Amino acid sequence: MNQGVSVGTNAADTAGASRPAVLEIEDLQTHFFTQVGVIRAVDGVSYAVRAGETLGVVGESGCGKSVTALSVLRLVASPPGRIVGGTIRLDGTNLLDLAESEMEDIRGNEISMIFQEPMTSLNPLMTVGRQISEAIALHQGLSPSGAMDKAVEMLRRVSIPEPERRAHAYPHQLSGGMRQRVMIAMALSCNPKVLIADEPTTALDVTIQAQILELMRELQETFGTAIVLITHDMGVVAENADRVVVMYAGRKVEEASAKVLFETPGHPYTRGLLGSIPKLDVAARLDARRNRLSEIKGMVPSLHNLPKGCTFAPRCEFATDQCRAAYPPLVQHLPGHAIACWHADKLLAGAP
Amino acid sequence: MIAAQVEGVQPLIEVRDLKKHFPILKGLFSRSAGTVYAVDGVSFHINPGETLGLVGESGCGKSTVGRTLLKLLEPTAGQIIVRGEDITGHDQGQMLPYRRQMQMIYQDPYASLNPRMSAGEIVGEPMVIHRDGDASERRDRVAALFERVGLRPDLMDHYPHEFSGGQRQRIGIARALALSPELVVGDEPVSALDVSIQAQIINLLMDLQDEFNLSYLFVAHDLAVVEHLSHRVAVMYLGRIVELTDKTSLFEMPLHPYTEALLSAVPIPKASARSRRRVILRGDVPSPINPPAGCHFHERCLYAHTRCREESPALREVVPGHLAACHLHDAGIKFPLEKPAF
Repeated sequence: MNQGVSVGTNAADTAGASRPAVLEIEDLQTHFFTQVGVIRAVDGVSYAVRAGETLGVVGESGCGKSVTALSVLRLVASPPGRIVGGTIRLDGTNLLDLAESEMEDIRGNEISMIFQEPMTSLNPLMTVGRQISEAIALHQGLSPSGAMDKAVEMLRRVSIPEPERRAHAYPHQLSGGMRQRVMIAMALSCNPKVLIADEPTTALDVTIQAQILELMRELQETFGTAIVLITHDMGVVAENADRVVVMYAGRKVEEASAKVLFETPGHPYTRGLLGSIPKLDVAARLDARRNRLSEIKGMVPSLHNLPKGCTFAPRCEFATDQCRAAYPPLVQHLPGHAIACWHADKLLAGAP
Repeated sequence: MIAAQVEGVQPLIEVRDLKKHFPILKGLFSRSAGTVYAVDGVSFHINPGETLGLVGESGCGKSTVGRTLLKLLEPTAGQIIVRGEDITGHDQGQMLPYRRQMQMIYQDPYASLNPRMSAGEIVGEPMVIHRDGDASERRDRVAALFERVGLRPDLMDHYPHEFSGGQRQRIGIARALALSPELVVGDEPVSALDVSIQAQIINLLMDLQDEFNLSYLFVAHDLAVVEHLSHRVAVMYLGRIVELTDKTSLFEMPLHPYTEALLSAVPIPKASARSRRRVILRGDVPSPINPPAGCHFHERCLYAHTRCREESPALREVVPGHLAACHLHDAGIKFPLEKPAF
């Protein structure tokens, strides 16, 4: 789908990459074949993450950020979904070439995932200790009692008080924050190279969110895990990600280091998103009536009826005929800063 | 009692020591097995044209306050006073004129609209119930309301499933405005929306307030959104208000350790946010069924001392216009220990 002088590859490759990427997604296309037509949920997305690094993936509902993650684990429901193009490399091996039995050795072992709602991803009929030890026994070949000891050890690592007792608790007996700790313990129990966290703190209160994010940072330092942090919360990204990918309507529209993205966002969509979030310090000091939030007009287009040209053009204040005619290529404007916008140079030059 | 009342403005609404307890019933004969102290002695007022933000985490009782205030739930104790008149004991018939003045916007734009009614019928229903105008007048009024909240009037005959989340929330707002209320209670009205849509709805709520001199009780968990919309903010923890003041003071000089932690936990979308000093609370919010003795917050408080474990602190004016419920101020403990870094 890339047109013109696309860089195609990942912006980070030139950004002083000292370590090779553990996980590398290249031009991924995941489509859903439905009665209303083909829905291009992921349409040519590339990103990479290195050991010990946190990559933030942001965007609004339906932008394809979760489908990209599910594609990595080959968990997209088929039918109607199918990965129709691209590669997903884990340490150089294309996961899309593997047999299903080989994928089973990858899932939960080399790549783990935590989901937004721990209550629906935990088995309500099994104690949390057994759920964690199941994965350990499967992937590491430990005996049931050895796996249980490891499970208790993992519960201790995620700061669950009285882990020996809690291992015998059922999910409903734990609070939301505790359940998310259990999910993290389970995800990290086999010391994966990559952890995909899909809105891991969205269902939690802010004080609990702060605890969980701190825990993820500590564990990352200990284990050197590469983390893909998928969220709609720009604040969570700013405080936790090293690099950020912004997605809109199935595509990557911008990628930069977190510092650059928040200081000099290039894509009009990224700028719009940042402008539309109430900022605590600004909100507290100014009268809201003289400090209106900037709006992105309209709404996210429906994926089975995307506009021609740039999919953001109908909502964009800078859109020209060029934008409405052709989708802009993803171009590196500065090392490590890629933007898919015809007017990015102009916007960056006049950046606030 | 509370700052602005001294100025001689009659509050639109005032609650005094409001309590709402829910019995936990068990077994065939519904014997009482305990009590949920959802709201446990809350006092505040809202002036005409003012927004009071009510912020707190899940289970702190903030939504129950909103519902009890409108008498959608009968209060267990305390008083609700509207323009000087105590409406606490009013029955359904006596409440009717007050229902018209006090409306609500709900969180979930998917669950709060009847799927079998058209958008126009939903917005017009309050006028039917209160017998406002005839059918054609009502239809004109609905069209005007649609226009005002940013919906095309020709969408009146469409059904809720045909609208996006943001559009549904606009329908909910139009319905709340149908009877020209004075007070609107918003219970997490923007929490379920994507950020770009959230900004549109926040701006709309502020425009409507200016235009109709509305008073809002804005209930939400997102402190940045609450600070943006509100004039004053009340912070709730486990059924009680722990701090209440204007939004700037709350941010600049939090006088309750819970507020300090809450401010510090909110992620800031800025490049510099990573290096700021943070207060990270340990543990979970305790259960409102069996709240801890003394100050409800003492188990998680970084500064708690003996008195906090034994005696519940009253909400009092610590500095003019700034109320907090914390023993540290009596003990002369300098607080906050550090300003939040921004």
